[in-house]
Amino acid sequence: MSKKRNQGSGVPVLTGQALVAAVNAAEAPLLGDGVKQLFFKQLGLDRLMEVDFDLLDDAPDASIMAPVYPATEGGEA
Amino acid sequence: MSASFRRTLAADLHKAYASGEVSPVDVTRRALDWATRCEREEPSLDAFVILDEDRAIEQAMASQERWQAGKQLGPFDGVPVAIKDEFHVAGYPTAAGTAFLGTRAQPFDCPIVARLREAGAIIIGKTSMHEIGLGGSGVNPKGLTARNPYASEYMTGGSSSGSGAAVSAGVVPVALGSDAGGSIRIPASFCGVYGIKPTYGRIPTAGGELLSKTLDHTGPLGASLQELADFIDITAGADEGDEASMLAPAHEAIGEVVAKPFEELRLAWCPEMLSGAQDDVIASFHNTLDALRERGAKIQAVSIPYHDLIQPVGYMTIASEGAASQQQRLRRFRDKYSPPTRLLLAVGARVTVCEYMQAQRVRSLIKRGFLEVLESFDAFVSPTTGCVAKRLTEADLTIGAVDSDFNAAVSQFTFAGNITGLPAVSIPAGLDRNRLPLSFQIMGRPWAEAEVLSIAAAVDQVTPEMPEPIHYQALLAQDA
Repeated sequence: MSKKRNQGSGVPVLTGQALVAAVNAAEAPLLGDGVKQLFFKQLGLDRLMEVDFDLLDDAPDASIMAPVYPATEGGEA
Repeated sequence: MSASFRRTLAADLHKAYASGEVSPVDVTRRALDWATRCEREEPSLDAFVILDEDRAIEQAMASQERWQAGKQLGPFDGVPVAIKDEFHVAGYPTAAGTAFLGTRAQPFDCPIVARLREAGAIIIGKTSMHEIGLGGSGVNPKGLTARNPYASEYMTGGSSSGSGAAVSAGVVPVALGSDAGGSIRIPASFCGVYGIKPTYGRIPTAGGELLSKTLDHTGPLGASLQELADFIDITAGADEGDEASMLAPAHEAIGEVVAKPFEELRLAWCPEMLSGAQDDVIASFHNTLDALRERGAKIQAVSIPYHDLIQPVGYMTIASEGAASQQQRLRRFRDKYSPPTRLLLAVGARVTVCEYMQAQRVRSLIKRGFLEVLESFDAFVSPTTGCVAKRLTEADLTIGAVDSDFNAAVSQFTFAGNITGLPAVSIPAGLDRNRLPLSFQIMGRPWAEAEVLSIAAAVDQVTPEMPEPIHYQALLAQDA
C-alpha cells in the first residue's frame, strides 16, 4: 500500500455538516467531478489509470465479465 | 479450538432431536425468546428487522412431525436460520436496510431461501444490514445498527451485520449473508464467528436487492465450519435467474469437514499486503503462521502483482456498479438515503466507462496473479480484516460518517476474494488487547470450497480459543 490509511492517513472522517456539504457538492452538476477527483486521490483510485498496458507483453483485454470459472478451470470441478 | 466454549451447532440440535430430549418447536421457541430479549435490552442487539413467531413455530411443528416419523430431511431440518434482509422471503418485505424499500410483502422465496426451506430449515426472521449493502461497518443511520455481542458499544461489521450478531449471540447456528467486498467475512471477523464467500456462481444470487453484479456473492455465517459446508451443500447449484450459477460446474457435496493434515498444508501469504494493518492483527496472523509451521505446514511468502491496486479496483467497481443499480431509485428516493450512501453513489455515478474498463483490466491482472500463486500452493492466507471492530459514535447512529481509513482497513484483505471470485473463508482467531475478536482468512482455488474448509479446519486447531460473548445464550438449555 502506498499509504497506511487505516493508521492515520490524515483523511478526515466526514460527518455532520461537512458530510452534508460533501453530498451536496458531489450531487451538483459542476462541483461533482471535483468531489470525485478528490475521492479518487484519497482512496488511491487515480493510481489505476497509471497502469500502462502497452508496456506489458501479455496484457489482458478489458472485460466487463464477472470472474466466472468454467468447469474446466482449476478447482475440483 | 478449545472445548471450553463453543456455540450450539446444528449437529447438537440434531442429536437432541434424535434422542427426543427436545423438539424443533422447543428450540425455535428458545431462539425466538432469546432474540426478543436481545432486542429489548439497552442497547438493543438490533440483529433482526423481522421476527415471526407464528410462521416459525408452524415450520418447527412440520419439522417435529418429520423427526417423529424418522423422515428428517437433512442437516438443517429443524435448525433455526436467519436471512439477511436483502433477499426475498415469501410473505415479508425486503427493505435492504433502506427507509424506502419494503413497502410490500414478496410473493416468492428467492432460490436460496426456497432451498433452505425445502431442506427443513426454520426461517425465524430477517436480519438488519448496512443500507443497500454499501459499506463494511454495519452502521445504518436510516435503519437498525446491529450491536456486537462481544462489546455492544462496538460495530458488528457489515454489510451482513444482523446475521453476524445473530450467529454470534447464539440466536441461530447459521445465517444467510451476501458479500461484494467482504460483507460476509467482515461481520464474521468482528463478531467472532465463521463465514464463507464461495466461488462466484457457486450459490445463486437471484431474488434479492444485491448491489454489484460482478462482485456480489451469497453465502453463510455460522457457528462452525460444518454449518458453512452444510449450507453450501443445500444451496449450491444452478438457477435460471443467475447466469453465473448456470455456468458453474455441478457441485459435489462437501459433507463432513475434516481438517487437512498439517504436513500437507502449502500456504502462501504476501508480506506487503499486511502494511497498514493494526499491530494486534499482524501479531495474531504471525502467531497462527508460526503455530502452523511448528506442526509441519509449508508456509511461504509470495509477491502478488498489483496487490496495491486490489482495493482501488474493488472501490471503483462497487461504486460504479452500485450507482448503476440504484440510479432509478435515486431519482425517486434521493432524500431517503443516508448521507454516506448518497455520497458514495454520487461519486460512483461519475465513474466513466474508460475508468471502469481500466479497473476491470487491472482486475484481470490481479486475478491472474492469484491463480498463478494457487498453482503452487493450496491456499493464500491473510488476516480477514486489517482492524478489529470500531466503537460506535453518536454521529454514526444519527447522520452517519464516511471514515476512509476505517473503510480501507475493513476491506484490506477481503476485496481480493470478490474481484477474483475465488472462495474465501474467515475463522475466529482469538481476541485483541481490548477483547475484540481477531480473525484469519483462507482463500483457495476456484470451486475448491471443500479444500478451503478442510484447510480452515486445520488452522482452526491452532488459533486461540474464543471466549463466550457477553450477549450469548445456548440454544439447548443444558449447554448454558
